[in-house]
This record gives sequence, C-alpha cells and structure tokens, in this order.
Amino acid sequence: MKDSQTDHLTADEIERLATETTAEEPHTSAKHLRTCGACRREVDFLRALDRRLVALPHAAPSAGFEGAVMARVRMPVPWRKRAVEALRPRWAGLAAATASVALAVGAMSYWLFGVQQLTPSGLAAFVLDSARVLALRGLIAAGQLSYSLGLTQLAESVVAAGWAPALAALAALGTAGFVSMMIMWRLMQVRISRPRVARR
Amino acid sequence: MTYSEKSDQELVRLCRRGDERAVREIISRFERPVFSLIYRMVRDRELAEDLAQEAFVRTLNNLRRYDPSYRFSSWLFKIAYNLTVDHLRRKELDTVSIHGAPDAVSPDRQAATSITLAASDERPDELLEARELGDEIETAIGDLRPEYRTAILLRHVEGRSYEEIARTMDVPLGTVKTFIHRARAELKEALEHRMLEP
Repeated sequence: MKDSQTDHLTADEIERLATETTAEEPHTSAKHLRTCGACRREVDFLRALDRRLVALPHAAPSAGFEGAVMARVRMPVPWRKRAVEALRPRWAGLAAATASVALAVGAMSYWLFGVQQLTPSGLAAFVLDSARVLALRGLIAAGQLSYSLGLTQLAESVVAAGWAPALAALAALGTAGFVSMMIMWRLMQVRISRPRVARR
Repeated sequence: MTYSEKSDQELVRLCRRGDERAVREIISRFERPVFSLIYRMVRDRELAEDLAQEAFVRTLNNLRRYDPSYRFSSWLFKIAYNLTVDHLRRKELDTVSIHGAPDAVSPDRQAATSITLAASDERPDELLEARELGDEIETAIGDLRPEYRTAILLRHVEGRSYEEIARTMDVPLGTVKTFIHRARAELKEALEHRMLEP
C-alpha cells in the first residue's frame, strides 16, 4: 500500500492533479502533495506547461488551401445520378435511332402494302427486278464511260498487238510486289516481347 | 441546422453522398489543427501545406474506409501523422529550430521555415515576453523527437485522450504514455527556468 508521506506520486497521478481541476483529488495524492515539494513542483510545472501549450496558436494555411484540396477531391456521385448520367447519351441515341427506323419501316410498309397493294412475293419480285435494272444501268454507264475515255480502243489495240499476256504478267507481278511490301512493312511494326532478364 | 453546427459524423455521411458543402465544412473545420501539427513537425510552410493537402485529399477520397465507431478527427490526424512521419524518415529531418529548418540555407528560406506566432492585444512588453516564451516553447518542442513531438502536441494542444493518440500514432497505449512522459521531461529540462517564474 502506498505511503502518502514517503512514496512520490506516479506520472498518472501528477497528470490527474495537474489537468483535472474540477474532479475531487484522491485523498492520499492531495495529502502527499501538501508535504512533498518535488511532487508539487512536478504538478506546478505540468499545469504551467499545459496552460502554455493549450494557448499555442494554430497556424493557418494559405488562402487557397481549401480550393487546392477541393480540386483534387473526387466527389462521390449518388448511384441514381451516376446511373442516369451513364445511360443518358446511350438512351437518347438508341431511342432516336429506333424511332427513326420504326418510322421509316412504317412509312415504307404503308406505301408498299397500302398504296401500291403489293403482296410479300410481289414485293420480292419488285426488289429483284429493281436490282437487275439498276445493275444493268450501271454496266451500261460504265461501258459508255470507258468508250468516251478511249479505254475500249486502247484495249482493242493492245490485244491486236499481242501485248495482252505481257501486260497481265506485269500487273500480276506489280500486285504481288505491292502485297509483299505491305506485309514486310506490317511485320516491321510488330514488337516482339521478350521476358526481362535481370542484370547481374 | 447549418453545416457548421453539424457533427463530424453527420458531415462525413453527407460527404459520402456527394455533398460538396459538407466537404468544404470538413476542410475548414480541420485545416488549422492538421496544418499546425504538420507545420510544427516539418517547420516548412510550403511543405506543410503540401502534406496537409495530401492528408485531406487521401482522407476525403477514402471516406468509404472510415470506421464511424472512431472519431473522424483521429482518422484524419492519423493519415496526416503517417504522411509526415514518412516524409521525415525520408528526409531525416529530425531536429528543427524555431529559426528555420536545418536545411534552410538562405534568409528567404529561413523566413519561410520559421514559425510566426499570431499577434494578440497584449501590451508591448507583455507581448514581447509572451513571444519570447512562445519561441522557447516552440524551439523546445521542435527539439523533441518526432514521436514525442506528435504525442505532446496531440495531448496538450489538441486535447486528445491517450487512447486516441495511440490510435493516431498506431502504437500501444503504454508507448504513448512513455512518449509523453519523456517529452515532458525534456521540455521540463528546457523550460523549467521560465515556466515556473512567478
């Protein structure tokens, strides 16, 4: 058991006496303090130190501190807002595309099956016939163009002179050379990854 | 209820929901204590601002990891303390002076790294006296080891309990008591002649 006359106070007891002003001081500690100058000095010093340290001013950061922190903080976004934000552009685009396609299909169907009174097989025949007509018109236009540019006459003179096989061979060689060059160029771009070897 | 009247826990809850005003309130509530602690440890205003900024950014960007059963400020101080100690370990900036950081080689640098105490409305002689004593206290605190310095500042300047300091510094309770006991002994040696004057 502690003897209030001889045993000095512990660090905890000194701190309690120095910092807790309202609490009742334990009888033995208070009694010891009245008779022990060393412990009294300890308590007095701690009281003075605490008073001084509590009074130490808080240093303030610069005026732009808050703004600098805010610029780097990733503000959490509520999940509902996040979902709407994430889906809004896709939804808008998807809805517009779907509406456009539906409108076009509806209008076309109405015109073909309503106004033109077509059946599905009639529609298929109409589509095939239209494609055939378009292809023929394309061929005819290409022939007219080559004739007006003089390509037809040129081809006739090449065939008449017997240069056709040589030209065909040259074209084949040129094509093969071009393809080979493209392959080489592509291969030069490929980086071969090798396992890293530690230096000794 | 205004934001300044809300509790720390309430502000954290609002921050998690993305309330920007709550984030600003947290910064304004803790910027001075956090900055002061770091400033007193590194004695370099620019560096202290960088470290304090980093501490706030890490804290606010990781609010999901915060355990609400502990005080928010303890968690914030812990992050600030760890960042500062990591920096000090890297730079080996253990001993500092009130007149500037030891690596302050020019007058400008010394001015930037010395602590300026706030002016008060005391009489000039009292102000001078208080400033001198304040300087001595700051010097004595600056001469402490970083662990002792943090423990004594958290205990006396921030009024934290031993348990909170232990959590902040991530050391056992007994170690905190040892830190504070030794810090007081060193401060007593340095300041007793001034502190106990009538």
